[in-house]
Amino acid sequence: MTRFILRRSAIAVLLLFVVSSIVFLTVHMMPGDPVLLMLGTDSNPDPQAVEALRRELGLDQPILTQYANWMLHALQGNLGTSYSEHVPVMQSIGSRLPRTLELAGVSLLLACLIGLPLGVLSALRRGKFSDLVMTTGASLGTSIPVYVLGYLLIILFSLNVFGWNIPTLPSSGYVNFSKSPSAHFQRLLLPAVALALGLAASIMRMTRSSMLDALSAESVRALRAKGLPEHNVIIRHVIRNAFIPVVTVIGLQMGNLIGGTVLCETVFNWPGLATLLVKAINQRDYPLIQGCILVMSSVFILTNMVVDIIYGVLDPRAR
Amino acid sequence: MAEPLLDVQNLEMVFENKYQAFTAVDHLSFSVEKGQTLGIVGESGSGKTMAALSVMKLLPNQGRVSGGKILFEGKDLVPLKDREMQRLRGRELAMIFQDPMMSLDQVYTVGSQIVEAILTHEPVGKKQAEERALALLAAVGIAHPQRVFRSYPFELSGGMCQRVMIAIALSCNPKLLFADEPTTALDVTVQAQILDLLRKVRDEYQMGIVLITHDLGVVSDIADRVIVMYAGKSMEDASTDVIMNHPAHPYTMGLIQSAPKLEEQVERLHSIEGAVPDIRSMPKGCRFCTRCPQANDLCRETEPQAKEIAPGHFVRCHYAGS
Repeated sequence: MTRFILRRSAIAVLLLFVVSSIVFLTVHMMPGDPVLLMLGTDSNPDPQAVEALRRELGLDQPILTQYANWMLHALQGNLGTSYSEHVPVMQSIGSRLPRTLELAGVSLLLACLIGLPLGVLSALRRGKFSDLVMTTGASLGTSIPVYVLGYLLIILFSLNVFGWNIPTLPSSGYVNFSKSPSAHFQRLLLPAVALALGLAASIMRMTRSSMLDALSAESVRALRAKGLPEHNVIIRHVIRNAFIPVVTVIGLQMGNLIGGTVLCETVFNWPGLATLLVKAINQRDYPLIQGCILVMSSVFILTNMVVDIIYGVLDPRAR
Repeated sequence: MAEPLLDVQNLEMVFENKYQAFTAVDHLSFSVEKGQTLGIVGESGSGKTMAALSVMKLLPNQGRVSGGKILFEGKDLVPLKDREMQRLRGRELAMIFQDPMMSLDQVYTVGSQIVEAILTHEPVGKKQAEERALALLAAVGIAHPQRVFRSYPFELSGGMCQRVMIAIALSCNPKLLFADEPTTALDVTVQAQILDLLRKVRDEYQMGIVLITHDLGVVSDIADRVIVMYAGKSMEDASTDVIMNHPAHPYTMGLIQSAPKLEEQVERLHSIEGAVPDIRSMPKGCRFCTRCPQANDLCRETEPQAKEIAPGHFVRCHYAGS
């Protein structure tokens, strides 16, 4: 098991290197010039000022030199200084990342809490009316985009258009947890739900089909022939086997989840990493873009590594 | 004579949905005594596995026992509730299956699956159960019980897995063992070993065995009595010796002829033409009439009844014994 984890970690490090190289190159291939944006494109900027700024930012050097410099600094934990905010990239990311991680983490948790039990339940009630209701709901859930669902939730629960007798939730914004925990969670609830529902629906569908596979396995009949009580057959054996492919799907969905935070943070004005990234792209803020994408991909690679390890724990064949 | 261990009388088993029902096992009767082996022989689709699953009450969703009695030690199993049946399964009645690799849960070690069976039925601690599991592995002829105990099923060969399945089946000293094609998925040399093992445990534990197979060679090796099933019905029912040497039903004769023999050189193997009729459209008369070389109008019109042509030798054919 230790060897398995070490091997996975080595692969993760390698992936991180490849991803950071690609990120660096694509960012520099983007149309638009950060120097012109910084000096203001409306007027014709002074060529000398442009040249000076370019030299100051190191953008006049060959791309490979820039890449090597960036890589050397990144390895030491220095991702450069933001062009637009004039603070170290690590610092702006450091203040934004926890918020995005919180949003994504809570959504993932919600999605699992909703998707896994419903998937198990609908498989056990296959063909019954409740199964039909659940699978229809799941189809709906997978097909509503995050931003539509987000606005729908705002209309229903913040504007409370139907005048329901419920406490209305704030539609957007962010309050520090240390300032007021209840206000913090009130503002977290809607974006987290908006992000979670789609994921919950796909987890539920995957769980259902993989439960059905596991239920029809020959080993299940052999387990019943052993005289095992039905709840033991289901919990210890069927669910355990059914969750193996589901774990993989959750891992693959992490990409969608991180992509979803971009939309979700925009809709709910959640000041996380994704909104920072969008701003950085608009400004052609190279160091900040590279930093944001690098951190996001690290999160993705890390979660996938964790998923791989969980997979190894669940399935001895994968070790 | 004492009452038999298992006495199945006129068992009828149907597959049904909202609209229709099809009979898969039709008035089948058989009995097994302690320390005896009954062979049930037939092609795929003859209903032999469904007969065994009826007794175990492990029928697939749409299957149901619709008639007859299943007396186990004098007690009828048909009306038993799931929970009561659960207590019998594994402890009194055990079953092993055709594909031993698929019959084990791939994500648990072999040892934990044997221990699980013991703990389900017996009031023993985990330590004791583990010791017993190791002893069982040794008893079914596994050379390194310690190592196999810690292995996962996918690390073992098919023959090993079948030994493990037998160890699980034996874990609570059942009185009756159903073996559904236990050697079909295995190499020939391993087949013989598994049959030897079954014979050994039958004699040691005085267990009754119902051996389900399509292979007459397997049956002649181990069974005391044989039932030949065709399309849900028993066609011939006699001691193994009589079935092998004096078969009276054309179907049995066909089966024996189509079994390859080592000592004979033949150009082509004999085969019974055609296939088992579909459960949804059984012929009107004798069920075998569509494939029987001797069938005539009587066979196609009237279904023969089973008759006893010699003591203990039952045949379902108009022309048997005459």
